[in-house]
Amino acid sequence: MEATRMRHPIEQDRFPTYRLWGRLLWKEWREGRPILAVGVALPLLTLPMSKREGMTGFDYSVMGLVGILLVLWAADRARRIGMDRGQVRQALPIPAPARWIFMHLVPLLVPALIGVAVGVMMIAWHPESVAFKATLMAAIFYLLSTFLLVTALTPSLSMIPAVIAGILWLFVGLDLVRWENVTPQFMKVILLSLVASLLWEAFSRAGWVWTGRAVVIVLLLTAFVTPDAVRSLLPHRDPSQPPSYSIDSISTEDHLISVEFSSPESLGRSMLSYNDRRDNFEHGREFPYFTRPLGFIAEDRVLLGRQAPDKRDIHLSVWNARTDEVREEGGLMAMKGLLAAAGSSELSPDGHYLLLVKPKKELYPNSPQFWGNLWMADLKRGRAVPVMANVLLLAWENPPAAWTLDRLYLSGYGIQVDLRTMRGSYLTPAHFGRTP
Amino acid sequence: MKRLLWKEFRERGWWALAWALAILGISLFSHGQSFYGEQTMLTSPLQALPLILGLLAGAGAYSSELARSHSVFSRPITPRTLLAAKLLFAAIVCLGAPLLAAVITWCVAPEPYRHLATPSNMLLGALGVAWKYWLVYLLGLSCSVVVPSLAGGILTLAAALLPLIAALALVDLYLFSGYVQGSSASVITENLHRYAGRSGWVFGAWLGITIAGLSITRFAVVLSNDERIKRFTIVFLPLFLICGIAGMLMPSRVAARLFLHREIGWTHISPKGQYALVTEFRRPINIVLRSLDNPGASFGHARYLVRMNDGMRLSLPNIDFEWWRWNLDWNWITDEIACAYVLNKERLYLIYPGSGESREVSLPGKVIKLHTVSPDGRLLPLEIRSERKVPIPKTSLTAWKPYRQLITIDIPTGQILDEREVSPNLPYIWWHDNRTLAYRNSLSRKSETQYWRIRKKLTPIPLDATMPIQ
Repeated sequence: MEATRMRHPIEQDRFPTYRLWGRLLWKEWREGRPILAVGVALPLLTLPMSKREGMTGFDYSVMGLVGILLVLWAADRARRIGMDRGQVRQALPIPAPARWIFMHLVPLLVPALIGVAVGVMMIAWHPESVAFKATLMAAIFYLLSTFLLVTALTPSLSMIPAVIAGILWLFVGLDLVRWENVTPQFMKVILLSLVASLLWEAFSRAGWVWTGRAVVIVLLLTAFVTPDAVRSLLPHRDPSQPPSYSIDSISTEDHLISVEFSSPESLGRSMLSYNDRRDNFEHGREFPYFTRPLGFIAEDRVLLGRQAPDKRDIHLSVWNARTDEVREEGGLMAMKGLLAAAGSSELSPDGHYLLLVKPKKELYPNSPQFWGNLWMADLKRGRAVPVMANVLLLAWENPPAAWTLDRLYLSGYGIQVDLRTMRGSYLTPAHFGRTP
Repeated sequence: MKRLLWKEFRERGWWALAWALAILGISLFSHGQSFYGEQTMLTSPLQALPLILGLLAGAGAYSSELARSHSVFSRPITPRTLLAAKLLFAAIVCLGAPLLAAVITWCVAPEPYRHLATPSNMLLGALGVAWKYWLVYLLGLSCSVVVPSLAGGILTLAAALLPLIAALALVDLYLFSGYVQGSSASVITENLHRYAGRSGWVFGAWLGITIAGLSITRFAVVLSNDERIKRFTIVFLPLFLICGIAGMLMPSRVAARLFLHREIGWTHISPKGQYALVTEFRRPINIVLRSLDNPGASFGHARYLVRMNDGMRLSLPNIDFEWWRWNLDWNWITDEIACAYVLNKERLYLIYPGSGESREVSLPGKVIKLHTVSPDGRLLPLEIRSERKVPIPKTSLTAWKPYRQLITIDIPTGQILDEREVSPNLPYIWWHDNRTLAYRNSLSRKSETQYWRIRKKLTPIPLDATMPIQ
């Protein structure tokens, strides 16, 4: 069969290279133009909406959609070319260098032009916060890197892993593209993708498929797994330091009386200082390690709590700063490390209940707002339970509390805690529905 | 059905795995609190990952049937069973992953938190996660029956979204630049119209794609590409246009009822929890996620006083007050009296929620800070900023120079009893007795305490009398 097959003109040296390249260019144009049209039209159509309020995130949604289109197109064309080579005889036998160039480099015009449209869209949507040239370049290189990453991965790992990797990169890049000076990071992905693709060609020709796959994966991972990225994943808090949210001082509402640490707690002791600014009375005392001030029972009496890191029970004591007497007040059962992690506390006027705020994480880095869990301690019964999780609070203030006999209201946050059932909930319009 | 489900898992297994892992990750790290019955606010851009993977899983749903239609013809399978199997497959992934996340959350949660994760909370939390991903899968599936292959499904979606984005752009560019509403329309009404218009087009696109796609699932494998595209367009366009135009022409009252809901913004609760000033926002309903940057203010807000024990609304005093102002400062002096002022305004209101009355106090300057009321609850000290003309040395010119005053108001009469110029560094003020204020400079620890006796005679008030209103 093979012997009687009619030889293709190119194999008979009757098909000039310029004609081959012309046909390949024509093929790329036919296949790429719908993607180019849709990819350029979508971002440009959003321009009239760029000055409107309430459209937060719309530009990024369009950018994401364009990116996904590009990922699928890249994966689909790389899959078809790869399949043709292995399974079906091509109508036009193409030399390997030409095939590589037309697979990787020539179609880059499509993501580049779409990148220009996306860059223009970003500049229109955020004219106040971005530099023109840097944004344009970031958008272009972002889409180029996405295209090349998927094109490099599809022949070696098949289409679905390549699409998933491409979409993950879209997400990583979507966060990066807003920052300036990110072009080198995109360039790194572009270059590594091209190198990976060349290496895959070499390995697959030699029949070393699994080695080639491993090389491609390792090479592309080096683009993402940087020392900084690894460091950011590791816990970087010095365990010898108390958590940054930990209660380090308390004061009365008018800030006239305060209790605070007079020396850093990390020195292995808890040195507390009481200060009454009305008569300049100041008195310090050393307490066992891990002691925290929790609230004022009276003007001169301070409720203190101490919890060892590996213990659930909290020892309570009352310190009379004027007479320098300390009286043990029993304890309460809570969770390990609760007191060390509590950011603020609020004692009820009758001294029966204690609200503890346990911060979890900032809303975003360096934000004054943070997510926290609310704990309520019943000091008479000696137990503390979480009453509400995932509450958005402000870092610089204690939750302004209004205590009734059976309820605690956190003014400003619209939160109520039922002290009988120890359950917290948000106040809703349904609570205030009745009209006289 | 079992075999069809097995076929789905074999064909779409990798997508299902990636999608399930994304849902699991988002459920664990962002939705985790919903298993405790709490609200979840998603702020990470990663929240879109399971949505996109769901869309892609759906967009390739019919790719194998369209490529190998003989496999469907050769077996006694109805199109409806085929569709049901695909939807059930997605439901298993959508609900299975968050349920697994709920179980993991319960297992790894510290013991004290477990009482918050009741079975009903966990199930409701999982359903709250699952339904939106399932709807996105449905959208992708509807696109997958038009043009073969995964890329074809996404191209169909992108093609259907082109008229949507064009419609949104046109709506914003032309119809809301004065032609429909006119320049006299209020900001809230215009925003509401715009929101209803946008929602109409978006909902129309979703409904159009879904109905059009589902309507051709019955014939998908026997029709040619052209025929499928034609049928899809015939169903999609009218639905899209009807919903979009209905959204544009929707009366404000209907739009407010359909798209807005009431949400408590702020509550100023009195010290003993008897009364509260509540600020309520009208916010658009966001079915996908609850975002922090949802602009509530542009859709209006309302303030009212409530009695906390029975939730009864009380009438707000009818005073000349800029209630819409954001920088309104409301302070409860006691449970019976509140004090409100607008920053940088030279007046203050004493408000009595029990009787619904108020008293305006004109001040010689702008309010900066309120201090603690006297032990008998009669006097209120506050700091104000005033300006006076001072000559500029060696010239004949004068300039306005700011200075700070501490004034004391008699709460029952609203009378200013005394005023005194004070240092800007004056945070430490307290009541020595019912009529004597003490204060110290905050900068120096060794500064002397000074006393300020309120000498003006107060109007006597009978012990059993309520606060008089003039």
